[in-house]
Amino acid sequence: MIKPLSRRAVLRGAGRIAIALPFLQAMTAFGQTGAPRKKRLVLWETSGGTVFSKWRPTGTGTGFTPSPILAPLDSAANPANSKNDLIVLDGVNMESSFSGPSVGAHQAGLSHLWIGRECVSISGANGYWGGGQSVDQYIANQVSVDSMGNPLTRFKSLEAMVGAEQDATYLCRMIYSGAGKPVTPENDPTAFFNRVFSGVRPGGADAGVDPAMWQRKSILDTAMADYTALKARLGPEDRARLDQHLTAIRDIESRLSLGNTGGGNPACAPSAPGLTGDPNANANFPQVGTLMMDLIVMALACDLTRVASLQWSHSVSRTVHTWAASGITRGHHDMSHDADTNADTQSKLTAINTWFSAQLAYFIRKLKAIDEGGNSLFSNTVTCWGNELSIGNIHGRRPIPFVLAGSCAGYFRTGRSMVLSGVPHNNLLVSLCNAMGLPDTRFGNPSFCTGPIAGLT
Amino acid sequence: MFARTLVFGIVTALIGAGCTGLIDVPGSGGSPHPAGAGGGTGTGGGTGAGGAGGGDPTPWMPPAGPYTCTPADFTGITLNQLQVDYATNVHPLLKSSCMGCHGETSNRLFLVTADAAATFVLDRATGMFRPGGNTLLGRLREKDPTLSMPRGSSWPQEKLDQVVRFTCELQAYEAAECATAAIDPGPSPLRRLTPLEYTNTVQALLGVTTRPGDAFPPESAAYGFDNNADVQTVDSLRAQKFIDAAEALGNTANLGSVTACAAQATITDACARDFISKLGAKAFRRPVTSEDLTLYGNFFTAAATNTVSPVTSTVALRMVLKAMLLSPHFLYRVEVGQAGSSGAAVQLTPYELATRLSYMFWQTAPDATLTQAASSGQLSTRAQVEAQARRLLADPKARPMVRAFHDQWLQLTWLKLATKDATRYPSFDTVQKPLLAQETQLFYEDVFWNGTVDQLLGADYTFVDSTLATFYGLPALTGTGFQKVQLGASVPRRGLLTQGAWLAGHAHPDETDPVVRGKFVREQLLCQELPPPPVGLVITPPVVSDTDTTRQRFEAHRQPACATCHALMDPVGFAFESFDTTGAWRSTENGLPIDSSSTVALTETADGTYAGAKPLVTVLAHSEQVTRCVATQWFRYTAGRGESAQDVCSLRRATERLVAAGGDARELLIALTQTDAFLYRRHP
Repeated sequence: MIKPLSRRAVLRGAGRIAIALPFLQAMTAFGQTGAPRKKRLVLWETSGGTVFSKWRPTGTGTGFTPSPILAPLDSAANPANSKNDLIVLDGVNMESSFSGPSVGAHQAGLSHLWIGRECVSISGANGYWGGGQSVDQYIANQVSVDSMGNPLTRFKSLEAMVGAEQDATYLCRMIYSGAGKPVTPENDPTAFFNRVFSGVRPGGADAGVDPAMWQRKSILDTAMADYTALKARLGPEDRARLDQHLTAIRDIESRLSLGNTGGGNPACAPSAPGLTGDPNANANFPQVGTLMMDLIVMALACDLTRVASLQWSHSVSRTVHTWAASGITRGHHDMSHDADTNADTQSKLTAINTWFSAQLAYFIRKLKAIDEGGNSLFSNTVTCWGNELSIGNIHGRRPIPFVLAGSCAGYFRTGRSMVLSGVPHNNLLVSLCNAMGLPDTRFGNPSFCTGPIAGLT
Repeated sequence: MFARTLVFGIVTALIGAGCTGLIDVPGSGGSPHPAGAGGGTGTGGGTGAGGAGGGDPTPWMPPAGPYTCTPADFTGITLNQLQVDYATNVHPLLKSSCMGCHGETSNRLFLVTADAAATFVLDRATGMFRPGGNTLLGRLREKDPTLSMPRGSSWPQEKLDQVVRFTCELQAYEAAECATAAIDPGPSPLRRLTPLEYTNTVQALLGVTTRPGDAFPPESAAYGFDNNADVQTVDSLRAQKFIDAAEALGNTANLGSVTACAAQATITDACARDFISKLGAKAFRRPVTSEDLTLYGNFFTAAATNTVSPVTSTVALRMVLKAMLLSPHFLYRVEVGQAGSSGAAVQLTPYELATRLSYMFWQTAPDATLTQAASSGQLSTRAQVEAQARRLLADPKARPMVRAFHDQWLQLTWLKLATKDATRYPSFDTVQKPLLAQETQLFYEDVFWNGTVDQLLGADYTFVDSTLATFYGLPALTGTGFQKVQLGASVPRRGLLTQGAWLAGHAHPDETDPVVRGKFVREQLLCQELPPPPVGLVITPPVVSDTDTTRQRFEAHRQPACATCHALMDPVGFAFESFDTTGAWRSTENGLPIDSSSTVALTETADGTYAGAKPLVTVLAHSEQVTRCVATQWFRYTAGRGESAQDVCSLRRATERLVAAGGDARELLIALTQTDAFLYRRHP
């Protein structure tokens, strides 16, 4: 497929210095009728499993009634939240996570959720890490460039997290650029804002030529030359280490000139998050969550990236969700170990998961508030809500409570509840690839993948 | 006795506890620690973890001992004899008992291959014969303290004896080999500056007081340490942070502090090259090369004369500075070693050694004295390296490194994240928590700088202020601030594991956590690696009653599916049940009396039944397994990587020196600078 030339692509193609050129009319302007819709993917993760009796909708197909946990997503109080925007997916199992080296349940769940293949060990380190590229990175590598391979967005992808790191290990990483190569999420909204929106002009105004850009670019070029020269003198393992760094610099360098116009959308109006407290503090968890959602929505609205992920808490979450229900005094993970017969805990876990639903509902409303030339940003996006576990106390991964929100520019037929019989979750990852325009038929470990989930479109 | 145990311990017994008890106390019949040392009663191997009866799969326990293993009996054994014994007696057993699940086609990690030779790694560089860490025998010997294999069956005594004997042969062989072994540095992965090292380094380099590294993402951790080179990946976020930091520093740096001419309005090419030479020598931690001068000198000229986006010569020099702050020679501790053929073990260059020394002790670039030593050939001998190491360690600049090590190794950072149920412990988070952190820091620093490693777990003193004296129920203090206080005989506390910082950090908001407390002892203090729960484990948790004790609830782990691993953790953690989630003493929970008795199995010398925390930690404090683990943890931290099979001799020598120094950890650090792993590397 030949995509229309983006304005930025022309600027870049014309030379390393961004200067206006006279054939802009060849490009499709923002919002112009007939312009291809920009598709977006957001991966959304919560941990500790759910309470299935309160999660499963009543009825299937279009006539379903959302469950108590999913109720915030179909709300009379918020007409912008409707079950018609959702596909509730029951019966999708994380089959791949029962294969490969024996690792802990949380690690298996978090490492397999978006990767779908066996964990790997790293020589010289303990434990096991994600064993391949996660689906968002796979997709981002392709949708962040045009058909000529030129970058389209300032960032290939953006990764955010809500809550304290606890420990920067495989128990806190779900996004991987490759086997054993975790991608670090940012959990401080202020730092996220400063990095992502630096130089972006509100309202889509053209920032013009940035004199600092040439300097930065030439600095990076010089640094890259040093990496290249050094690489030749090192052994293969060290060369691979430098190569990873060099690749990251090159990617940044190639996207330097992008994004200053905020995608040309007047709704691109970033403003600094007003967080004053510690982003790691338990009490600030809800506020950090709101700010991170706002920032992701704005980054998508400004077309700074088309792929994002949001991770709520470490997989073994110590977050004490005092705001979800009264009487919650223990960490989420700790509570998730209690028996199903513990009614008090079940009701609190239900409250926590319902609170997470309400966050997704908020995110949906924010996406809907952004117009993209007749379609809302929400309608161009699919948000996939997954969980590292099915139920906390048995640490199971059959099934995973998946919810899709948004049609990804009409790809998914939303407004339905589907009950599948043990479909491997790798199939869902394939469906996400397809929704974003990639023709893949398999993702992750092919032993646990038979193709896209039937009936989603 | 210790030296022999040391040999045994470093290669760690195949069959863990049952074997080692007898090594250490020959003929003692399984009473591994002196009676009265802590009120414990030795129970010998083979009990304790075996509580999981019934069910399928059944955790396997070794038959009751004794297994005799005396490496001295095998002194003089040859490699050929080892190989024959392995091929004749051991490999067939592994093949018949293990290969079904751990064979090449069964999709498991720890392989037993049909070919006996392939199950062992023969290190061609040294001629040493070692079990590969990723082979089944290596795994059993080094990593499987649960002895949970093979499932559903057991090995007959004579077979077990054969394996134990082989282990002994291997120890004897390795002991002899280490005495004469060729230099083997193990891996030397390229190390990148950590966020803290970055801050320290730019502060020294540019005279700034900002802390750019604080804005960097946290490093991935391995073995609990944030400086492990093998997981130091660089993703887009980290690369961007380096760029942002370089630009901010480059914009504000005082160029004239590097060379006076750089402060002038117009900077000549010659001045720029002088700047690059002087800055580069510090930033790259070695004299600049002609390649450096060409790359950065030409960059200056090109920037200063460009017509696309003209800049002043000062701006051009700032651009050079920014580029140099992004150079791999600055961000990484680049090493190639002295001349040699590819793969040969070569000594590090003096500048590389100076850099290793400086980052090991001071977490920053070499100072003028070290650099001078490097440039004048004064870092060529072990004695010269040791003298510099002693100088660095004696300087107060080594203190932050010691703190960072302890905070990570002992997981004291967990306290910061811990919050307690405000309705039950209203003042803890704001009042006691920061004081407890202060107490433990004062304590471990005192132990490190003035004491010996056994005191970390067993000391009969601590540091408290009047608030903590009340918290601990100690006699009221006179005076203000923290004071060193003796813990009387009636005080139920000794050492780190009875301090609130550790107890509260290893507990839930409203109840204790015997599992994480026990796991800590196994992994951080005994260096045992616990296996994860079985794949596909489905458990049915018990109904929790508010009238139970925590211990009663965790007793549910006795069901077979859980017991294999939890028998290693929970009973150790139960010893600390007399301390509540904040670390305060308690004698009842929910109206029921506390039971803090603890039965510990599958350690080398600390097996037994203990009446609570104090007797247990007293035995652990003097355990040789803990001593060895301390050395291993320091190795992991200072080398920035996990130990490998090639490090057996490096670790042996360092640990021997720790023991010879009576447990003075400072001598261990000096000893680590004398190892092959520190002084040498493989030439690329």
